[in-house]
Amino acid sequence: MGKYIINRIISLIPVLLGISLLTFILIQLVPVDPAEVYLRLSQIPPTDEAVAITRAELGLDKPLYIQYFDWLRKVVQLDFGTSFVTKKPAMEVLLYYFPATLKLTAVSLVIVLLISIPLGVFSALYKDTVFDQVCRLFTFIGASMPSFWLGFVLIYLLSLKLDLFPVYGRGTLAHLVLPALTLALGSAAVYTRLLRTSMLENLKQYFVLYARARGLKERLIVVRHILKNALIPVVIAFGMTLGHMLAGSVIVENVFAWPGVGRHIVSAIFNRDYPVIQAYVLFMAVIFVLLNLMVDIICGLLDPKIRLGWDK
Amino acid sequence: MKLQGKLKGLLQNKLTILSLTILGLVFLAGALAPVLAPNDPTLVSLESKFMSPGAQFPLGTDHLGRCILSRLMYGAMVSLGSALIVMVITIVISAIIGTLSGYAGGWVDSLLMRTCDVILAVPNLVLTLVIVGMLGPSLVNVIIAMVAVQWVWYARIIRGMVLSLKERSFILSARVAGTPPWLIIIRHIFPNIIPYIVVLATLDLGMVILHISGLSFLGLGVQPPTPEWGAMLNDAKQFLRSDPILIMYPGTMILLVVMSFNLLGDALRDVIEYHES
Repeated sequence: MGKYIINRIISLIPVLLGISLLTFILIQLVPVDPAEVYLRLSQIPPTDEAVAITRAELGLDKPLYIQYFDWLRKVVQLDFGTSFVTKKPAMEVLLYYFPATLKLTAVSLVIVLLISIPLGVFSALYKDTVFDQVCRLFTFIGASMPSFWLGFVLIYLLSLKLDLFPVYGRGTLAHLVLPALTLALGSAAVYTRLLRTSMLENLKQYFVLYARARGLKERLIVVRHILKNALIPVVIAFGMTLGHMLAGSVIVENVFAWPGVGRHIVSAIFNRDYPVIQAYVLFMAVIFVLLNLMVDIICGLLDPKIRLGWDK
Repeated sequence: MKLQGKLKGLLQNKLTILSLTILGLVFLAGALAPVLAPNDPTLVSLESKFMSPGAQFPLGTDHLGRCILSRLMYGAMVSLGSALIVMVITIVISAIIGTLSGYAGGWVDSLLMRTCDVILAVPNLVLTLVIVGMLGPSLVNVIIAMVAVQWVWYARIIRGMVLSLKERSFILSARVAGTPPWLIIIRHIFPNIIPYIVVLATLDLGMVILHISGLSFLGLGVQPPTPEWGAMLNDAKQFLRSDPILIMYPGTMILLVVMSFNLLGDALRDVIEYHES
């Protein structure tokens, strides 16, 4: 197991280097001179002289490969540049907003599990019944529903009409319910479907037939034998989903004015606060990579076939 | 071709027909918007704002007195049109890169596939958002960003197909006969992979529409006054309390179209999987 983990970690090094290169290339896409943006945001008239000085200050006058290595050296020392707007370190800005996003995502994830596990299990056990059909409809609508619309529909129905939840803001758990539900629905639909398919596959296995032949209780068979195996693909999808939910929070946070990273990054884009945008992509990519590493390790623990590389 | 027979069989499925009908109607409404739309979608008239449905404005007007039905119709053109453009460019780029990678092999293959690994290591919504952020908000930049992120998925699939095709006897015979590689690719490889790729692309059109309208909702895509469903939702959100019906129109359109594409995609996926096995 130790060897498996070490191998996985070593294989991350080229990916992380690639991500750093990608992040660096992204800033080269900026159609205007970042030095000029910096000066404008600092309310300094961008004269030729001022631009030249700022370019030297930001290191923009050096050849690209030197700029990259300079930047990489700073990134390794956890220096991700300074926000053009707030003049604070870019990573500090992101970390300030991150807890709110994390809280939203965590609550959403709980909702995803609460919805998808019972729906997935029972729609597989009662395949082709009315319940299964209703679940199918739910997964179809859930996967096609634009979260930015769902959010407003929920606000309108549950907050404005029924007055059950506060509309905007944060603080209490009640504030979290609507944004978390909005963020959760799409993933809940995907998970329900995944779990249903995986349950159905396991139901057909010989070990289930054998367990039945041994006269085990149906509930025991479902929980111990079918569900336990059916959850493996769900766990594999977990890292991906969490990453996508962190990304999807951009839209939900903007709908609900939730003060997280997603809402901040959109205003950073409008303000042309390039260091913050750059730090954001690096930050999210590293989180995504680490999440997938974690999932790989958990799957390795759950299933020896994956750990030994037999499961191709 | 056998695949075509299977695709014909699809037309017997009721849900497929329903989704094709919805998509066909929306597509026609968008394509014929300049002829059929009752009003100019961008004409601002403050006297007629927030009007209820009536003879002149069949679905009423928005906060600037613009005809909602006309905006929805022109919006269909923008939403479906930009999603199709994204897909066509994505397929062309990924067909070139995937084929090159699979056929050439060696360091070209390694370099291209490692590039794919890196792009796949970032959640695609994050990467799209950041590319738009760097280039600046506009529909063209959204299209560029979507293509830049999407091609990777298809390029990998195409590479896999090319790798297995390369070993097939008809390609080997062509090589032995001295056919130049470009001719083998055009004559023998492309005709075998393009139908699959088109089907795969249809599967993803719903997702592409969701992303484009999502970015427009954030204000990063289509810029006012151009009518687009996501942007219309963004306009309507401030009037949620007074005129909730305004968010219903564009939202329902997005849901209907995306759901139709997903239903169609599901049916197509069954055909492909069945065909492959």
